[in-house]
Amino acid sequence: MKCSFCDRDAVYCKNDICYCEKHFIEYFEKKAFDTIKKYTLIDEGERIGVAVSGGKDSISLLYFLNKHSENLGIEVVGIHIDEGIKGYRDILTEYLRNFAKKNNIYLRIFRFKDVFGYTLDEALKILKETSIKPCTICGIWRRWIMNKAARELELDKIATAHNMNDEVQTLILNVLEGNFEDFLRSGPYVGIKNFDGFVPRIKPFYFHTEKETMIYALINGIRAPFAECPYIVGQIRHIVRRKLYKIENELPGFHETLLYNYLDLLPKIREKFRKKIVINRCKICGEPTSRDICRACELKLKIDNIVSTKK
Amino acid sequence: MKIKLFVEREGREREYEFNGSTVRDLLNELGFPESEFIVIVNGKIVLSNYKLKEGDYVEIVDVVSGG
Repeated sequence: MKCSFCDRDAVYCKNDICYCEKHFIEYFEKKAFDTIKKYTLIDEGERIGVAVSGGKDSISLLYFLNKHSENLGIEVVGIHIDEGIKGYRDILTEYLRNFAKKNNIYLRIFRFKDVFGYTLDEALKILKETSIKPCTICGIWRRWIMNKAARELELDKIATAHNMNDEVQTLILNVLEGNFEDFLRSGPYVGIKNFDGFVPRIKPFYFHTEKETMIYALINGIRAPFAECPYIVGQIRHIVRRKLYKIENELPGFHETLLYNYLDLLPKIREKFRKKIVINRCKICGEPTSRDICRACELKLKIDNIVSTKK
Repeated sequence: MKIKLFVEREGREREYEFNGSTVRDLLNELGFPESEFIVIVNGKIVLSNYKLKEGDYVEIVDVVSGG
């Protein structure tokens, strides 16, 4: 099949429009720019940190923002968190390091081991008799480091590569697990600018599918190694992700419709249900939290206690 | 026809005897849903109606990976 705009072979088709490599890049980047503009994700002069895991989505975002940094008038910094999953993260970190070096992008790496004293593998071994799930501890410690790193590096915002598929999975999970606050907090722009202690998160690829991001990566020579987190298999996100793909195969456009309907409803439900959140400072680390002790410190305390009672 | 097949998640290359015609047939034969994979033939991304030929080098890349 040919591209709808020229004589070259198409690499992607959507809604009866087909794109060759060149026109796909135009389509993809225009969608990202439209998202940035519509939701005012970026202002000129900002220093943007890209949360980069080493996978194809986040490296593509780092590539995209770096490519257009002059045009957008921004400075781009890569932030990578190595939680210490052997045989998974190390492969991605290596690829990312080389990518950043080749593209002359400043990359800062933070490690769970340095910050909390344990790699994720070590923490999970200690916590094996508790009900704490790998994704819970990983997510809490990751967010804590990201927020602290953002202030250390004087970032105005953190850009993440969450795409349409990720977002729909998260919406379903938030409903399933009763995380109503998180359900209301979603969207391409999360957080409040200049709110003490919190750095806003932006998602320029919010309206791209996972497949589109992969095609963008491949066309740009980004071949991040295939790697799947060993802890995700059997976790609820993994199950939901697979089921949602099955629905998408039978009902093409399912993710897109669900996400747009959610965004239409969001302002109305936010207005009605959002509670005023009181922000405190964690008594241990001083980070902003709605509790007395933040969840990151609470987890570290729990692990430290198990370790000290075993000694 | 014989093709050379590289399935990324398997991490290895193999000879494959293929009885169909298109990339879609190949994905169906292997049990891979179209929305979750990208197919690269001889270094170029192709659509699922692309007709394969004897000796083609076919890479099947997972759209879903990571955590």
